[in-house]
Order: sequence, then C-alpha cells, then structure tokens
Amino acid sequence: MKIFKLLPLALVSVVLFSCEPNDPGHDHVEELITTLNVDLESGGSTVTLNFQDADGDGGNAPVITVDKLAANTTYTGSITLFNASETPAEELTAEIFDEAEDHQFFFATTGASMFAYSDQDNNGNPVGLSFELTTGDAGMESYTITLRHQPEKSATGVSGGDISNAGGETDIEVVFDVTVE
Amino acid sequence: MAAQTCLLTLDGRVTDSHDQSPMEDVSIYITEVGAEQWTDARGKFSFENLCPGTYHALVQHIGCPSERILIELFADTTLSLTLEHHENMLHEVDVHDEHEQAINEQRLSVLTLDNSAAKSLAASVSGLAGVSMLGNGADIGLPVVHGLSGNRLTLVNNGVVHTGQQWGADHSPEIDLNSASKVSIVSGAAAMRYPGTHMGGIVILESGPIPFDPHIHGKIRSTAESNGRGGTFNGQLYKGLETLQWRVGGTLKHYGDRRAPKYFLNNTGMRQAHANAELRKQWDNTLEWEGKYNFFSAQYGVMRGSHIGNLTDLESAFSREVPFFTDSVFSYEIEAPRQWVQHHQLKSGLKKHTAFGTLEWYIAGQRDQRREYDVRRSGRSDIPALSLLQYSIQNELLWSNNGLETGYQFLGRNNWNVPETGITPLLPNFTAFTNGGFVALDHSMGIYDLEFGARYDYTFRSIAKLSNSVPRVPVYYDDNYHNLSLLGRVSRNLGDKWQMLAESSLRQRPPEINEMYSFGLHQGVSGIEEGNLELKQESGLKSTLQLRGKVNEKFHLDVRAYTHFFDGYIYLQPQQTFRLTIRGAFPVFTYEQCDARLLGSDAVIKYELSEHLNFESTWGYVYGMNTTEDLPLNFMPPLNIQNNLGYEIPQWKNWRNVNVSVMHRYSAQQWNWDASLDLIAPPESYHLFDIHLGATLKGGNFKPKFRVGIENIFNTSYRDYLNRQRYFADALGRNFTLSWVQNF
Repeated sequence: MKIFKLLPLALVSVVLFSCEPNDPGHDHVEELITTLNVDLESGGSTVTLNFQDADGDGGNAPVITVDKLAANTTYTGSITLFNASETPAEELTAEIFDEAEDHQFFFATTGASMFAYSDQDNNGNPVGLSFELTTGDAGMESYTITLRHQPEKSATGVSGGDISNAGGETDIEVVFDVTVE
Repeated sequence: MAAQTCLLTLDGRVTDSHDQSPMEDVSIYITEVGAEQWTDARGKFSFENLCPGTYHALVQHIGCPSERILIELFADTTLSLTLEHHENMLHEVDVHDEHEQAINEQRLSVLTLDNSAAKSLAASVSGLAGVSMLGNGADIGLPVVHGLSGNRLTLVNNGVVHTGQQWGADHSPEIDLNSASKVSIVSGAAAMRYPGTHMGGIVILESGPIPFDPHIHGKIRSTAESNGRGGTFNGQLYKGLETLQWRVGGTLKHYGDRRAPKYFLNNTGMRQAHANAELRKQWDNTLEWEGKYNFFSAQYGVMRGSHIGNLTDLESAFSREVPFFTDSVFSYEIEAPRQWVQHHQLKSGLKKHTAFGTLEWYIAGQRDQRREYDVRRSGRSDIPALSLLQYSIQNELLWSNNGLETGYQFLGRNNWNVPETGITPLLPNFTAFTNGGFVALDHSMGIYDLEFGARYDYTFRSIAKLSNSVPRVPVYYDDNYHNLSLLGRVSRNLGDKWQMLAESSLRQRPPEINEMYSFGLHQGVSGIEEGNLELKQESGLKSTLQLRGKVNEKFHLDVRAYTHFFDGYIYLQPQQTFRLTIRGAFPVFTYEQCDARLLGSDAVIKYELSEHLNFESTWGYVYGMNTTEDLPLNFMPPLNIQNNLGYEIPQWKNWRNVNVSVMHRYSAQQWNWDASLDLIAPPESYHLFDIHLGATLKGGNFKPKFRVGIENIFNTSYRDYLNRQRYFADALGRNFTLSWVQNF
C-alpha cells in the first residue's frame, strides 16, 4: 500500500480542528463576595459601614463608605454580604450562616471600642454575623473585620474573639477608618 | 551446511561501547541449557557442544541492566557484543551500538530509569548536570535545564511535542516516566528539528526499540516507599516478530500524606494511573509504520497549609514553626485543594526509505484536561476553580539523506475553559496554529564534525477572554509572530581521548498566552497574576563550549560552560504595591520584558578508585541577571553538587552484582537575590545523604533485582529554593524504599 497522496498537511489538520476559539460566554460568578455591609443600630436609627470591591481581583480600588458613630453608645451590629457582580446583586449571607461551624468573624480596633459576639453555631461557638459594638470616647479609630474560613474555634482565645490562634483562610479582611464623635 | 549433531560453538567478545575496550566478568547465561560463562580479561567467552536451535541468552554485568538476546544457532557463531549505553538489540545478533551518547546530549541510563521508577519525570532528570526541578511539593514539578523551564523548555514524548499547561510552575508535565526507556536532554541540531517554543533545551523521551524475539517478554518495576506510605507499580509486555512488534504497559501509583522531619504535610497524597501501547509494522525493508498511544491520569493533593489567602495570612504563615492545617494523623484522602489531570496522546508515524533518502510522515493528536479544586464555600469544593481542556494536533513531513534533514511541521492547539467553575478564568480561550520548516545539515570533515541548522515558524493565535474590568464582557485578540532559529556547531576530536564542542544558537519564541492574557488570583504563586499585552517576542543567543574525555583510564571528565543572552526576556515581576480586595491585600505579579544574561557551567567527573569502587560528581551552576534593571533573575537554580560513591562486587553468596551506593547532595543558598523579588529570603543551603543497596538473586529462571534504600538518612529539615512549598513547610524527611525489578 503506497501512502503518499500528499494533501497539504495544514489543511488536513485544520479540517479536524475548529479555527476559532470557543466563546468565553457569560461569566456567572456565584460565590464571589464583593460587598461587606455592617449595619449598626441603636435607639431606632442605623449607621452603616460599607466596603465594596466590584471588580474582585481587578485593579480598581474598593469603595469604602463609613457613617459617623456616636461616642459611648452600644450598637446592635449585623453583617450582610453581597455579590454585586451579578445583576441584581445576590445576597450571600446565608452561605456563611449555613456553614456556621466553618466561619468566624473577628473584630479588632485601634481605639477604645469593644466588640462582643451575639450569635452561635451548633457547637456553641460564635460566628459574628450578629454582634454588639460599644464605643468609647470620641476619637478616630480603625476597625479591622476579618472573616476566617475553617478556623480552629477551639484554639486558645479564638471563641473570645482573639484571632492569633485561629488559623483558617481569610475570606474577608477589611479596614474601616471611623470617626467616633 | 551445519552439522545436525550437538557440536556447535557459540563464542564471542564483549566490549565497552564507549571505547571498544574489552569487558571482563560479563556473565552470559544461556537459559535453555542452563549454562553460564564469564568473559575473561580479553572480553572473550565460549560455549561448546551446543545443539542447533533457538536460545535466549542473558547478558549481565555490574552496573549494566541485564539484557536478553535471542540467538538462532545453526552453525558455529561468533558474537560481537557491546555494553553500556547500548541501544539496539535488533534482529540477528549483531549488537553494535549505533547511537552512542553524543556530545552535548545527556542521558538517563536504563539503570537509572529502573531506579527512578517511583519518581516524577522532573525529579529523575534533576540528577543530570545542569538540571534542576521547579515545583510545588515532592510530586509536582517541572524540569529546569540551564535555568530554563516552563514555556522555554520543550518536552518531546515519542517524537510528539508535549502540549498541556506547562506555563505554570505548579503543573507537572503529563508524561509517565515509566513509558520511556530512554530519556535525554539535547541541544543542537536535534533541538532544531522539533517545533515548540524552547530556547535551547529539549527533554526527549522515547519508548525505545522492541527487541526481536518471538516470545512474549516483559518487565515489572515495583517500589514501596515509607514517606507517603505508598508505592509504584509498572509492568510492560512486549513481543518482537520479524515485521510486527508490539508493546503494552501501565503504571499505578498510590500515596498518602508525605512527611517532613517534624510534621506531616497534610493533603499531599497522590494517585496516578497510566497506560501505553504501541504497534510497529514493517514492509519489505523500506516501509515502516508505528502507532503509539499514551494515557496519563493523575490526582495530586496540594498541601492544605500552602493555599493561603492574603498578605496577612502569608506573613503569619512565614513565621510559623508548623504550617497551618497540620494534622498529626496520616491520611490517604485527597481533598481540596487538589489537581486532577488527564492526558491522551495518539501518534501514527510512517517512514519510507528510498534511494533518495528517508521520508517520514507523523501525525499526532493530544487531549489535555486539567481541573484544579480550591477550598470553596457551600459545597463548591467539588466544583473545579480552574477547568481547562486543550486539544492539539501535530502533523509533520520530514526528509533526510546523508546528513541533511529538512521538514515541514504544523502544530495546532485549541484551549478552552469548560464553563463549570463559576470563577472568571485565569487563562483565556484560544486557538494557536504554527507552521514551520527547518533545515539541518551534519557534515564530517576529518576530525571535525559540523552542524548547521535553520528554522522558521509562523504562529497565528486567536484569543477570546472576558474583560479584566467589570462588567465582564467578551473581548477578542489576534496576534501573529515570525520566529527564526539558527544554529552552528563544531565538534572536534582531540587525539583519541578527548572531544570538544563549540555551539552557538539563536532562538526566538512568541510571548506565551499566559504571559500576555492571564488575569486573576493564581494560587500557585500566592498572588494575582496579570498578563501584559505589550509583550514582544523573546530572542536568545546561547553559546556553549564543552570538553569531555579521559584524563587517564580511570578518570573521565565532562565540562561545559555557556552564556545565554536574551533580548526581550519575559519574566514575572512582583509589584511593590499590593492590591486591596475584600479579602485583604494580595501581592501582584505582572509580566515584564527585559534584557537578560545567563552564565552557567556544569560538569560531570567520574573516577574509578579501584576495581570495585567508583566515584562520580556532578556540578551545576547558573548565574542569571536582568541587565535592564541590574537585578538578579528570579528563581534561578542555585549551585548544586551531587556526589556518588559506589562499591560493587560481582557476587556474594546467592547474589550477583551486589552494589552499595552513597549519595550526597549539596544545594547552596541562592546568593544572587534581591529583597524586591521575593516575599521571603532564599532558604539556607543544605546537605542530603542517601544510601542504597542492590543485588540480583542468582539461580532459577527469574532473576529478580532488589534494591533497598534510605533517602535523607539523617532526616534533615531543609527547604529548597525552587520548591514553592518552601514558603510554608520543610521538604521531605527520611524515606525508606524497597524496589523490585523483574525482566522476564
């Protein structure tokens, strides 16, 4: 059997192959958290801290909006999470709540404010979607809110809100510069 | 006519293929007769009073893998056998080695391949001079040759340029080392012949010839290891008839968590399953066909403690004694983060010998599928975070005659992101087509051997990706490149003991898809990677000088020095400011281009201390500078030295070819480094020691070969500069190994 019918080799190959790359299609990103919203309610009125990074890993700087806080006040805090890259924006708070044992929020401050957890997972450890914030005297402070995925809640100090031994992966880490007046 | 009575003589001489010196103490064992003879000081042996017929002879010598030859004895016959770097055991009985290891080619011997059956491709070639491994953990890694890896190194598996996702340092090549019987690293005209984007070095794997023997034969290689509590099993069967030969084989690997001296590296288990099959047919001495199929599948666990989030997490990981997520319990389970990869390769090759030369036509197709899983919320850890599917086709037509070789090659690739991830892909969809042709000329003039080569490739690519900014819409790009390669090489014999080589080659490659169009968080580098649309093609000029030969009978030397100048060297540059996202701050890496200079040298020294004791030392060093910025090039291999002391005796009690070897490896701290290039300083230098004891069992028809060993005898804690896991954890601790090789 003599073989060589010399078809142009490129042609043979291209026929077996599509010339155009596949269309990337619609990007349906389900689990990206773009927005952290903290509502602080006291005496009927609510102030809000909001962090939004619409382009995820992209180069656009996040947009941070911070309301002023009153001094020496106890606020009831609640955190909600959104994916604003979808239209309409999708609330993702329930995903944290459903995997409460795998998540914990940590609150740190540079000033006199104090944070306390108001919620629990099935093992009696805190989650932090609901918390209490008590401000001190007037001044400027920085709050750092960190969400850890799969932390070691039973390690020393962790369930009290000390992040040092928590481990896990950081899913959220945002800093709010607040004015207490 | 031969007498029909049993008075035939079979004798012969065994010589070393390097220098044709006679080899003493070579055992020739004729299975059917159960008789054994040993060669004398002149390499001669003789069997007498044999009956006419077919015999299987087993040829064994210290330091050589045992070899089988088939002898059709119908008259007094004299054999001429050569050992060491033997290649072909073809047809009749003439066993002269045609393909001695060429200068500027480095090869893993069959013996080393047998001993490395449990290792990955990158790990096993890293023992050669000038070769290192860049990777992430013990099992995931790429070879680095003279400072070049990834997009700059081409892997050729059975004549087919391997296509996959080799742009990532955390992506192992999807090639089963055990399917190859010959692994070599070449440059020069041999490198000119292949398409692909290499810049001067190629790793070539070949399954090797199938010896002529009408009976089915095979080989088993099996290794058990204590570190990872796992094992590797490889089996092959082959049969070589006059005009039809076949071989099938497969490998299985199963490992659990690896262990550093002080803790487990949790989630570093690994599973692999591979298969290979080939069929060869010849017609009337002028036409041959071969078909080869390779299947590779693997699942790698990525150490949980190395998949860290933002900069805060990274910095606290760097200061930890024990990595995050370390568990004192061993497990075989592989959970997220993990990699799953599957690769198919099918090749058909036709070769026709004519009066005007040899014509060859190869066509090959590959399918590469890679899924990478991250730790994700809400049960999404079972949905891949990266899912890439790539098809490629290669089609080439070659003609060679008398030292002239020329060819036309087509390489097409189609890569896309399977839409199942729910994450904006790191790498875009693309198609790439390369048409190329080359000419290579080899000419001998007395003691000089000259080679010239020229190559031209035209690449056209179409890219479709989602925009980097929101809202994310599809964007399209096209690019095309003309790449030229030139090669000149002179090698010369100096007397009859030395050879010298001088070589200069120019190569160009297009900026790869990931270098231009990637975007997103790449867990493999713990940072956000951004491609650069402005990149132009990269050009490199490499000049090599090599000298090898014998200082005296006992002392062999092979030294090489090279310079490699780049224009448009593409590299990943860490940015000085970090990117703020909702997850915190991340390091950002962008692809840039610069002028670069690599200077390097490597050497192999072999010294025979006595009849039974030999010493081998391998050195390698490369110094890389970004001459535009006057900064070091990142992740260049530091100085490394490997010493091996081997002691072997022909027999002891029930054992033959008993050998003990002690290996010492030294890796220096990378001193050519700058703080702006990396998140932590390079790790300290380290020394590692291994010891192995091997022997072949005498008697009976099966002669199993066993080998026990201890790697990292002193359980040294160390970190390797080229291993990305070093940011988080120590490398492997002590490992006990037991292996069994059986030819049948």
